[in-house]
Amino acid sequence: MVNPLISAIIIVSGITILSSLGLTLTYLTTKVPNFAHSSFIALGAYIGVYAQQILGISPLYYLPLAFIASAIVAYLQYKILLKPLMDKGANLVTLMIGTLTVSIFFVGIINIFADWMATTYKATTVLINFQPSEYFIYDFPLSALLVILFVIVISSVLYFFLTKTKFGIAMRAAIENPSLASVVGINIDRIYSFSWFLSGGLAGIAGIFYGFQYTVNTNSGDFFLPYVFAASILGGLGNIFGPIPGGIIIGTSSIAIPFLIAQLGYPIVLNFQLFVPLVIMAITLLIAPKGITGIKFKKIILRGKP
Amino acid sequence: MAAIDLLVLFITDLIPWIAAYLIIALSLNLEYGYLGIPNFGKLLAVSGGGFVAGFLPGLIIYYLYNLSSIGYYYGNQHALIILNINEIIGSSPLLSIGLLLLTIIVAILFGAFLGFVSSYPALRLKEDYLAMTLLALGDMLVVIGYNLDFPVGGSLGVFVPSLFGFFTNSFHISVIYVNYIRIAFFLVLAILVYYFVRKLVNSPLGRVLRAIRDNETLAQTLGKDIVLYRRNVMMVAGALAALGGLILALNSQAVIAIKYNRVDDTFYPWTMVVVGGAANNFGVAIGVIMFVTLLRIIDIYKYLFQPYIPFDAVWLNPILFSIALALALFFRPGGIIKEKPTKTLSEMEIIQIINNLKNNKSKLYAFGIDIRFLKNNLIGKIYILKNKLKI
Repeated sequence: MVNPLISAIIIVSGITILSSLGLTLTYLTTKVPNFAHSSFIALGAYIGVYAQQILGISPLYYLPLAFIASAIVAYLQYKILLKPLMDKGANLVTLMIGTLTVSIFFVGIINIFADWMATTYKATTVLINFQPSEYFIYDFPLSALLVILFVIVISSVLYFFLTKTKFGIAMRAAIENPSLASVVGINIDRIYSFSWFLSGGLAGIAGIFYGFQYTVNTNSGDFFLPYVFAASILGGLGNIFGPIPGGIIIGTSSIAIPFLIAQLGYPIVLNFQLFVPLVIMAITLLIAPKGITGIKFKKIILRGKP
Repeated sequence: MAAIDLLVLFITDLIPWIAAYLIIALSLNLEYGYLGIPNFGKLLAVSGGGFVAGFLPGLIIYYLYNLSSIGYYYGNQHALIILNINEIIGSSPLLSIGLLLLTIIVAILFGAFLGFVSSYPALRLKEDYLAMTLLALGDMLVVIGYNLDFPVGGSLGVFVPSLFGFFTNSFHISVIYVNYIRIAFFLVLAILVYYFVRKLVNSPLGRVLRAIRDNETLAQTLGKDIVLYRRNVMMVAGALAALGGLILALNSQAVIAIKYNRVDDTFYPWTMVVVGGAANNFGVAIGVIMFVTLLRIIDIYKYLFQPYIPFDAVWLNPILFSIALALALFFRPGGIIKEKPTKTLSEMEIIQIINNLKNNKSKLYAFGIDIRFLKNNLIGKIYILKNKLKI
């Protein structure tokens, strides 16, 4: 049996990376921090709950469905709400309120879905853990393995896509300078739609894995949102690969630091995991507001030298 | 007859909620509407005020009257000593009123402190980073309150001592009328806050705030210290939001940390402010009355249509709220009642006022009103006209 601490660190880091990759992607393209990102995570998690509690199969089989469902929701959020607002020339705060709208809407939808499952199928649908439907490969939990696989595959595919394919290069151009890119003939709207679609999908996948570490509740997404923000800010919102170091640091420290303090004889600290990302976020904003990927290491090393 | 009774019951239930949400929404309006700070962390100050109501009066009685001798300790055994606490408070009107005032004052001070804490990032960050930071910061107190026994009893929660109980115990007033007194008290608080905010934003200070919101650099070149204004307004708004949270706690007579959440205490006030009309207090009041009435109607009358739907009708609230918010964003970006330009007097009015001042100088002095003070308050134009009229 693998130490549960290690698998916890892997899963939390993984879901933080997956969900903050999406958040950073949408921030880079539409320049708005998406408060409804929590809804995508919660939607993915509740598709997992449906699989485990109603159908009685492992939520891992429902990863593709979670991806598609959350991706479509995110796409619709962009198409129906944000795009028309941006066309009207809405300012940043209005766009943030727009994402807030989706967040409030999904508080209702997720709770109705949970209640509907509970009344129709007479099943428990709140405070669910996916541990019972976990598989083990050589004593190693499958969910942790899958998270590692997903992070590696997705980040390498994203890297290849952004640097080698035509659409990816167009996407980078659209991120750098939208008006110039559209002059060259790049369809900005399609690129933005794609980034929202991908962002929602990744958050949906993260939602499924969320249940293997935490307890899924209707407010799970809201609970996890500070982690996502912290990882994105720590990694640097200006760089699409920022969430990878950011997520690893946030995931590891939010599990390991309370555990280590608890080992010293203060087990109450385990309840205050949420403070770790908050503190890290505060320190990042004070020291390096542009995040890890925004620090110019070369400059720091060469400082003082001719 | 029964219909009227039901209506009275509904309105008496509604008013404390409207009072609490009006205060919270007005404090948000002060920050977002007038100063442009996107405070998505209202939950911090609201829960702060609620928690003060939860632990302060009970704890003071507990130590003042040495209730530890009963054998229960203050914290998660709170439910076992609340009757003793209520008995002691009910027997002394002076103590009750003193505790009520003390609780309000402490809540306001604590709220101002929390506002000061949230102003720290607000002075340094751009709108998007700021919104994320404040949103994450908002959950802090709730996490503390939920996981520790001491301030508000952890997951079990605490009862708020009935600070209005002395009317029944000492003056033998029927419980129904005590309820009316309580409601009137909340209503008076809300109206006072409404007039305070109205006075604040219609003063020269309010114009400075709008100037900072619309053009920061310009306000700076005019010698306005942006940092100071932001910090002070966030402190005032934090104090008011804490007062709102206090009313919520006093009204429900219990504080459970988890009942304070991001949806109820941050997102709903935002909906009320944006739909009602940011930077317009009357519009915000209308938004609050609209949405709180909707909330309460669904909450009270949900049993009527509950059998026909497979979910708790409470969850219709967020859906209706979000639809209203989206419609407002698209079709009325300024809200139901839009922001009005600063109230200035027409030329004729100003001339009339000045003439009146000239004629009634002695009368004004007799009433102890300083003419110079009055003149300074008649916005800008008066100085130009003063030279014209040679007075």
